[in-house]
Amino acid sequence: MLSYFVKRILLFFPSIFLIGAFTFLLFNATPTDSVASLLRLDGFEEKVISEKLYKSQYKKIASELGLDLPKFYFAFVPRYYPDTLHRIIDKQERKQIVDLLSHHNDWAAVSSFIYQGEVRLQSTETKETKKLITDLLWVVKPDDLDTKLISAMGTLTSPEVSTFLDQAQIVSQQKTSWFIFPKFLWFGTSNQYHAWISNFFSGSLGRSVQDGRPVWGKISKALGWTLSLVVLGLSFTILISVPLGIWSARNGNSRMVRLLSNFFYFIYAMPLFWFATLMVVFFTTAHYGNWTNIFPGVGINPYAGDESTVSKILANANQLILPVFCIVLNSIAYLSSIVRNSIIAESNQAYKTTALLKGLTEKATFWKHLFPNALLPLVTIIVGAVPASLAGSLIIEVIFNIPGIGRLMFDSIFGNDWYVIFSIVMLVGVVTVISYLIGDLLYSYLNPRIRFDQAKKV
Amino acid sequence: MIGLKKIWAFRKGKWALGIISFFLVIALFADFIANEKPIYCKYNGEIYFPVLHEYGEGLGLLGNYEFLNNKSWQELQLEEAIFPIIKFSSGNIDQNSSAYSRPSSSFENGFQTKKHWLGSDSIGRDVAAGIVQGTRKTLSIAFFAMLISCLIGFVFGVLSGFFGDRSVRMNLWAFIGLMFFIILIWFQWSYNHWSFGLALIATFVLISAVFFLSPRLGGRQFYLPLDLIIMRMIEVFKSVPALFILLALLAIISKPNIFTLIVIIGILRWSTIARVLRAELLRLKENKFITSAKAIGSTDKQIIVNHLLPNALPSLLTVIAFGFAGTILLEASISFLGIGLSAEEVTWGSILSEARNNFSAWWLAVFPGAAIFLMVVACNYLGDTLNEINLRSN
Amino acid sequence: MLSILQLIESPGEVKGGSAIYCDQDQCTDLLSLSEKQIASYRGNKIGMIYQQALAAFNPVQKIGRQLTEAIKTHNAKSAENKNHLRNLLSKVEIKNPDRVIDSYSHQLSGGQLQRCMIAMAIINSPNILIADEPTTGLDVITQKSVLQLLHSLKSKLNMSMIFISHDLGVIAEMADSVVVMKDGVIVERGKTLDIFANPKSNYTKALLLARPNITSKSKRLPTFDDLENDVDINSDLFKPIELQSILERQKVLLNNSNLLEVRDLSKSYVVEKGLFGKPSSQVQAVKNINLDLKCGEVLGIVGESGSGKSTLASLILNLESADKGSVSFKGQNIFLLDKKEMRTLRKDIQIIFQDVGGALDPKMKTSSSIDIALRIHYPSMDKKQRRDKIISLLKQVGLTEKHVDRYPHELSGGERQRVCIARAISLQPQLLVCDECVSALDVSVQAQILNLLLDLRDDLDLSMIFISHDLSVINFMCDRILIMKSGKIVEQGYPQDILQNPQEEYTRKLLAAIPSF
Repeated sequence: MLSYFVKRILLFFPSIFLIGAFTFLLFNATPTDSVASLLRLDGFEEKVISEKLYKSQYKKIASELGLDLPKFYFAFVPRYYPDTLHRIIDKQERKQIVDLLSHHNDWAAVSSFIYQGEVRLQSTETKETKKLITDLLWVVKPDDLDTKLISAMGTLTSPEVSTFLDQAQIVSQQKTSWFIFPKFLWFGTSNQYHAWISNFFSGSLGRSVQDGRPVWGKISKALGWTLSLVVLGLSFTILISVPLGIWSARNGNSRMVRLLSNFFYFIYAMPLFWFATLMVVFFTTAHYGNWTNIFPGVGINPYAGDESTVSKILANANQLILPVFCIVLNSIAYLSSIVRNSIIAESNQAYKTTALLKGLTEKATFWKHLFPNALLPLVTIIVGAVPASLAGSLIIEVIFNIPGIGRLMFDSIFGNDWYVIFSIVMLVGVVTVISYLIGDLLYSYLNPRIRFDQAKKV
Repeated sequence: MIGLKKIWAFRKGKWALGIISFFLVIALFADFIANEKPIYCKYNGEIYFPVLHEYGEGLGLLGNYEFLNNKSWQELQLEEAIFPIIKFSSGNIDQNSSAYSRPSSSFENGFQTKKHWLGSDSIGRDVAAGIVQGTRKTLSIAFFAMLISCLIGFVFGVLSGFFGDRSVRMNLWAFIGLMFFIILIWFQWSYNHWSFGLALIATFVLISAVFFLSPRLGGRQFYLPLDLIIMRMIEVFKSVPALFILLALLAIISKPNIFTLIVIIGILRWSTIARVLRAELLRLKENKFITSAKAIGSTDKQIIVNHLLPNALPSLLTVIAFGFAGTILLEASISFLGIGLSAEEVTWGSILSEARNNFSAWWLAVFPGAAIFLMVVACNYLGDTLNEINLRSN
Repeated sequence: MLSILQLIESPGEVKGGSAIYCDQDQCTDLLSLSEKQIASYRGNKIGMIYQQALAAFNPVQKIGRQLTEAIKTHNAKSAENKNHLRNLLSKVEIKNPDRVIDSYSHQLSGGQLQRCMIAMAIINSPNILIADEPTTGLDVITQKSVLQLLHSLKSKLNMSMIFISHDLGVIAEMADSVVVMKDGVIVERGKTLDIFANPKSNYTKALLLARPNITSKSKRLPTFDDLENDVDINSDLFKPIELQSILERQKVLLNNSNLLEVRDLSKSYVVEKGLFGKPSSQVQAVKNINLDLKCGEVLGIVGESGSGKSTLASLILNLESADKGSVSFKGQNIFLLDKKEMRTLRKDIQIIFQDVGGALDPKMKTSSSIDIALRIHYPSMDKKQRRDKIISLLKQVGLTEKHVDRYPHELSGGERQRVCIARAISLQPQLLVCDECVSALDVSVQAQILNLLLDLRDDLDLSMIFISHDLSVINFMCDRILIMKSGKIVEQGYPQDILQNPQEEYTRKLLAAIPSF
């Protein structure tokens, strides 16, 4: 068993690594500029302050976020690339360099072209010259550089510019080969991915671009609500559906069982969001007669001061009744039918006959043999239900306006708050992996067929 | 092959087939069921078929009717007309009727009386028309997404279940070299030196060359652990919280169209199909009829096509039926959250989500939800029936 | 038998009748008892054991706990006494009772589990022990010892026993009187000796006669149909063959050329993988096997389950790759052939299996099962020719045209095996490997199939490798015998020599364990 445990736990790390990589990959594909949003929060509007100040602030925040680090532990880049391209934070600037490089495969030439250009931009006076130089430096298609250069040569005649123009001449010539050889760069642990993972586990997840508050603080506040929903929902589900499953398994074909199982079949097929919407629409207002106004309206009562999340939850306990009810009713059907099928499967086993042959009564056979064995597979299912109920609680939180993880995710999506979004995705992924791990370990611990290797006969 | 007749023999199967074909008909003839245009009309002595004409316009074959002059059909006095049952299109905002009209409230509009059979929403869009047009979107998203996940799941399922860890053999050094060169090829592509097609062709040529040469090379042989690799992939996909990833992806794309939605859902949902197919193939492979087939000289392809797939099909169909329900639910949930298709695209989920804004408009909650529910029940019934047939035949 | 103890599951139902249990003076009808009352009989006054001992134990409880439960159920006060359990387990001849008490069912072997089940049944010294096929699925040697154990327990504990079996040999060894049942009806009953010496009904006669004899060899085996159709079972066909003619045939065969040569064949399986996928323990299924098969010869391979005989069969057919050694068919090493050449060669070597349920694709009609084989190897035949060929093949194996369009589940076990044989011979093979091909069949059907195989051997000039655990079947079929144990050949020779005069200890044990009548 030990070897199984070790194997299973070892598998945990690649899963975390992959989920981290996946979220990191998505995070890097986000369309909006989080740095700019953060700057705006801090009061630095691009148009209001000087460009220089803005740039330096931008750089500061970006390096705080580690954006000037390489993306991953290592990289394969073309051989003519510089080793430190990652230090250029501005995406457009980097793209310009890369474009120039793939037109003219020589870093020395390209870099001195850019350097000369920058020097000239700093020193030249006339606006016209500046514009021409910028045009050359920021040429959209490097293939057009030579034609642009010819037209610029006519105007730019001063001797200071000539070194730049020479350099531009060199870069404008295409220099490529049909096959590029890669070079391997090793960056060690100072890279963005490593920082992403280690920041996640140390809880420093950055700031929210919506209100500037730390992401972890927002998440941990929301977590209380989600946890209470999930825990309450799961425990009521188990408390109700296990006895229900037993009852329906033991009373096989009675009319009541068939009626009830049909009822639950439909409840199960009902999308949770529809069911919850129906409940909210019909049973929280007096629109349809006073008797339908059973539950309090959606949302959490406004609260004063810095109460702890726990006391807020307690104060709003009655707000949680309907959401928990929706979650429970929806999952009872599933769990009770699993309990039922598991019991029926066990009672078809030959050891049931053996137990009866020993002289145990039906009842004793059930409680001593069938029931404990039937519960075994439930361990995995219940532990595995935790991640599934996180998804369920997202929708419930949105409908009932409960400030949990799901609601936070939902709001962050509309606010382009990527740090929050991907911290939540990562968190849910890690919770999922951990609960599957716990489920597997528990099951294998409880089940001697796995606990002891079959090959070793006594 | 499981005939429809067999499914029809079950009570649940009858319901499933009934409901599914009902929605299929709605999806196919959506334009004839809910449309602001008449199906047939006579105007100024000429006979027109405006709905059919619309298809022609869509294909670019026909131009718009000139006599319309940017007027809507309601503003014309038609001599004769047959209108669809629902005289609205899904996206069409009705200025004349108030928002939130109750079901089967009717009103005069230009020269005709129109009825909101199932009520209207906050900006006067007809719910019935939305449901009818939404049927087409929902069904096609679910169908094509399942098609994609079936294709991926099928390939991976067969690779891991049939070939497994110990049937694809190759020379160790040939394999390492192959990996090296494939990386090199795609490196060229990623730095824009080679086009995608060239890289693809080069990879293909390289792989076939290695597989052709490798058995002739001898040397240290190495089994490609396909099953191991694919099982790990499935495990990782299983621990991906689908809804959360989907939401994050859609947030990044920000304006997904039907096509991107189909691709994303399809890619997220292949692992179940691969897993079931793998388990089924592993179970079937133990049977002696597979050994017999080998003994009479069947090739791998013949064994898969003649024996394994026909026997694995019933359980595969069961999973697909349940997967279909799951896909519909997933699509409806994201539309409900307002993160799916853009707001102009009316779907079942998007109509339902409007119910949250006005609790007195019960019809916004009841009807679209009922459509989702019916479709999900039908798929579950179908899955149950297929499962039952499968159990009985074993 | 379950009905006596009210253990019939719904929808089954006891329609009437009574089962009277008499203890000294008191007589009770078991069928009229309430649930509580019958429970006090079960395991206490009436014990029961049956086959599939592995499934009979709760897999997640230790054996000791399950045994204790049997005591406590009827004797609530009795203290949990390990000594008592230990005594009990040594009573059923379990060698290391302490370890068994602390084990789970999947950790024990079939024989040990069967003993534990017996221990559980006799734990409260019942008056009646019902044994329902208790040794089916066990190896012959284990079966022998379990039977001996039951026998001695019976007299030690002064029990009555109801012993249910399909195996007449076992019945002859165990029973004082016999009841023969067919289709739920009693056909015949009487003292064991009477019935075996002088059976009345055709069914009983067929049961007795259709079983091949281990001491002598006949040309054909009489079947139930033969008896029903008044075939003269005293004709020469069914009489033992003279030793002289057996020797003559063996001499002729000896001069034939070798069809198959197996040299140094070895194969091992990985049972357990270590942490990094490296095999940490292996089982050597086949170890350095050498054998020759002459043209036209029938070679028997005998061994208990796990002796590697089935692995040997699949190695000979190149269905699995060997670790070491060679298999040469007509002088050609089949391991060196490429895929295409191997596929062509498959035509010449065919196999039929024990598992009649699994050997045919459940989704294929009889015709298409055979059709596929024909299509691969005779691509020139058109549809009509193939269909005619299929019908003639089915006729050859004793089936009719009406079986052509049936699915496997519409066929009986014997018919399915005939279809498998038809498929195998459709390719006109030279070598037919029969892997326990009659073990799962009733005695009478077994006789039919064996007769058929011998006919085919003569008609088609087939050579055969006949694998079985049953020595009497081997004796009927084979010209030469190999005895295998844990992957190795223990002894080989002619049946008359090995069966009359075994040289090896293992062979002797095997022979002694065969129940006979």
